[in-house]
Amino acid sequence: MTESASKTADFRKLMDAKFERRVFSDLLVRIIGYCILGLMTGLLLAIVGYVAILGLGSISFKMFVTVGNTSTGGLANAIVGTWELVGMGLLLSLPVGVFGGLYLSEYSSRYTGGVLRLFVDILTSIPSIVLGLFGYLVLVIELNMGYSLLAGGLTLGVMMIPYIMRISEISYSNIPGETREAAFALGANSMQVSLRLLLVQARVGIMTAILLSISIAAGETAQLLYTALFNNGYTTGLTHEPVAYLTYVIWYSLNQPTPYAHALAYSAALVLVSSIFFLLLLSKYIGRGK
Amino acid sequence: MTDIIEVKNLGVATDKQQILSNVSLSIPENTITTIVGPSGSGKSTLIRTFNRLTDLYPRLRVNGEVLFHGRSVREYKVMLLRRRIGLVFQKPNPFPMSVFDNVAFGPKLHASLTGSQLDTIVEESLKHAGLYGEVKDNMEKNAMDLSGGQQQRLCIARALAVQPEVLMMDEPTSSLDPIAKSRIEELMLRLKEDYTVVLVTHDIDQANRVSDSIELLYNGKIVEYEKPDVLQMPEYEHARQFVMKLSRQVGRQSRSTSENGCFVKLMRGSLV
Amino acid sequence: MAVVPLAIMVILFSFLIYNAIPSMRYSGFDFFTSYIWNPGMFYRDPIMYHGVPAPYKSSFGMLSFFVGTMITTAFALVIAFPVSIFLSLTLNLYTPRALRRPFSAMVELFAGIPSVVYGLWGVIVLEPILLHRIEPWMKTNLSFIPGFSGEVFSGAGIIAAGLILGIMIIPIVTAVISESMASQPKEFKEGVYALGGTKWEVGRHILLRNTRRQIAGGTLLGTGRALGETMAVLMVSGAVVNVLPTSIFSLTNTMSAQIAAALDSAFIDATGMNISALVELGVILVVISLIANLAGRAIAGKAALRGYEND
Repeated sequence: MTESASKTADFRKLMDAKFERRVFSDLLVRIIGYCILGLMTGLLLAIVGYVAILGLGSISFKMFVTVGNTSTGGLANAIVGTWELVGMGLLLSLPVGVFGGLYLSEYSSRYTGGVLRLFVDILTSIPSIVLGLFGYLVLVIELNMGYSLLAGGLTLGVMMIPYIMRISEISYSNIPGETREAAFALGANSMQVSLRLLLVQARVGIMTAILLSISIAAGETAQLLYTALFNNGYTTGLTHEPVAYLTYVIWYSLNQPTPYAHALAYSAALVLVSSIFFLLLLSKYIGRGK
Repeated sequence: MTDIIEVKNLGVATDKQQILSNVSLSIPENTITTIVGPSGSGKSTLIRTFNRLTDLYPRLRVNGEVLFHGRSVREYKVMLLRRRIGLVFQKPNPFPMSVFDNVAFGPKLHASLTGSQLDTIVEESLKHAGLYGEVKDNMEKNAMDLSGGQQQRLCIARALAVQPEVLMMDEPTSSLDPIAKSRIEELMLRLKEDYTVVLVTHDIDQANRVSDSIELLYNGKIVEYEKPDVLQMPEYEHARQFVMKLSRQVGRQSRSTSENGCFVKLMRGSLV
Repeated sequence: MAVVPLAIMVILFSFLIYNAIPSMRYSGFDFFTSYIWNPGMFYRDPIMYHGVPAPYKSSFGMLSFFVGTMITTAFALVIAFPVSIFLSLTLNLYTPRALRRPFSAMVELFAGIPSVVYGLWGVIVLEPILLHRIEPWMKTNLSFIPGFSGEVFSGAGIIAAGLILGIMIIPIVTAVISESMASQPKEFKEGVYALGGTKWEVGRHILLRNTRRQIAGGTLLGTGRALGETMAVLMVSGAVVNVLPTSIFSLTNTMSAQIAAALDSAFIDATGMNISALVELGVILVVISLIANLAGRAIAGKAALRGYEND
């Protein structure tokens, strides 16, 4: 046996001493991990299940067709108003997000792209209540829109822009360079490539971005408190006419003393959560290939 | 000479394809056994069944048996099995930490060591891997800053530090320059005194330079190239070029070694 | 179109700062050191002070809201940080491949629950449990810890707000950490396994060690989110004013919740000082949450983009 071989044999005797301890700590971490995963699953079921039970116990078909004022009536105005506000938000954020994302991905230089992205990130960092305050100061007061569909919708839209812009930017840049080159080689100009090719190729990404941003916007409250206020009926005008929305019903009715108001809150929560989960899962399903 | 690893009728498959079928071979102690074959022939998968690294990929279904010291690898605790059968990867994969920490990584996992014991192990392992002279003054250097060849020798030192019995190397020189490559080949020849070396390569010249015995893997099967009629079998038609080169080279080397008066076991079961 | 966010931000900051100026002149440095927030008496004649009109006897100090924001955010991090780390480790190491996607999707669903629904659940489920079971137990058994001895009020307060905030930021912190763990090179992980490492050792020495930046970044992003969260906190914090917390059972309030709660009555103030003070509170909140968010994004790098999908 060589000298190094004998040393190796000495060291070899030292090995494997920590075996039991290592198996135990691996098991311990695994158990803690599974417990937390289980706890989170339970928590999700507890929250969603509770909302479902309360909601199903109090919801009625009549609520979908009658307007309400947070303590009597139904939810029809709030449901319609929520979609009106989200639609108004999309009207602002969709073009800005889709074309802004296109610019960031295809046309911007390193420097300008960096600066513009920084501002998109800053925009996401603004707390929603501050966006609401801003919407109140600028849209409601300064531009004299009053509490309205326009003021509330645009405030929501401002919040939706970053999501649509960054996610669609990512889906443009995921399109391989060869696809673009092939189009250019066929004599297409840059505008045609952008519009015909990239928008079509990135449609799945844009679609998931839209669904995601709708699901976030539909659940927002703080931006709308002082821009859309609340309306006991349907909203038909753009300005100087407040809008009802579901999250307001949940928040406000819960503070009312009557059981029926609480029933309205539970039903609104059920409608809202099930719509949002549907949109989220739909966006997961559409984007599942990635 | 006893066989430290024996493979019996091993097959590995995914849902879509058969990677290895009916592979049988044995690896004697303190030799360099080389598995050659074109890329995609299943060489890497084969040696990964030895230390059960295939367990990491549940899609791989393994049947047949791999024996280590005569016992199925399934019967060993996988952590201890992998300690005893080391693996060096194709691409040098030092951890993003200092040279010392890289080598000390394994021993710290497996043993409770005093500081001086750890220092000795690290030093010995680096010496074994032929890297000690180059790094002894700067053990705190980040391993990622070493050259490719140094990184690969560091990975060998890291594998040796847990005191394995078998050291498997999966194309250890394919990403290195010729000088680094020859240093590692010299190293292998020294290592077989203390360890059993299993080398995987698609480089036939390298196989001829270092091996005590060579197994040819083609399309997931062991080709018994030393048997006269095998070359003519239609299923190896595309491998023929490969096989021809191998047999010629083996023939040449066997001549040169026998001129030196050494008997080298070149092929399974037959002394040349 | 890409300039729109920049333009919005310029308008937003100029409007906020312009509207905050009267409050800055009126309250001066007291805004940061006082914890008394008194809207004043709107029916008395306004007073002039430092050249700006304000309601009689009004005074504005943000300290109680600032302290509340910091304490609830810290509480949220204490909950969310370990949970997110363990969730990410479990998803990346122990969860079978087939279950990984459903479980990640489940964690992301938490992000989809609206703030008010968390608030609703907090009021109806969490507060009674805290009030009748957990807080009395904590008071009897943990009172040796400083801050754990005090009067139990209503179940609302620091614990409820912190817990809810913690649950709300788990998806975003987990997304960033889990993403960066998943993008660790296979070579490192196989290297540890080949040396005979256990899964936990791979987690400890590779996943955790090499993603420290992204862990810090993701945690900061979660912090930014917690700082600005409004509705859920408004509903479960107790929304008190002029009170500094004395124990972990205290009722509290945060900067964002105060803006939402007080804006209603601030409209009645003819001098506009109440609104200006709330705007100043908003400016400070924006600055704090910007620092947390931008630092988080800068530190976490690419992994932070996952935050967009889990915000």
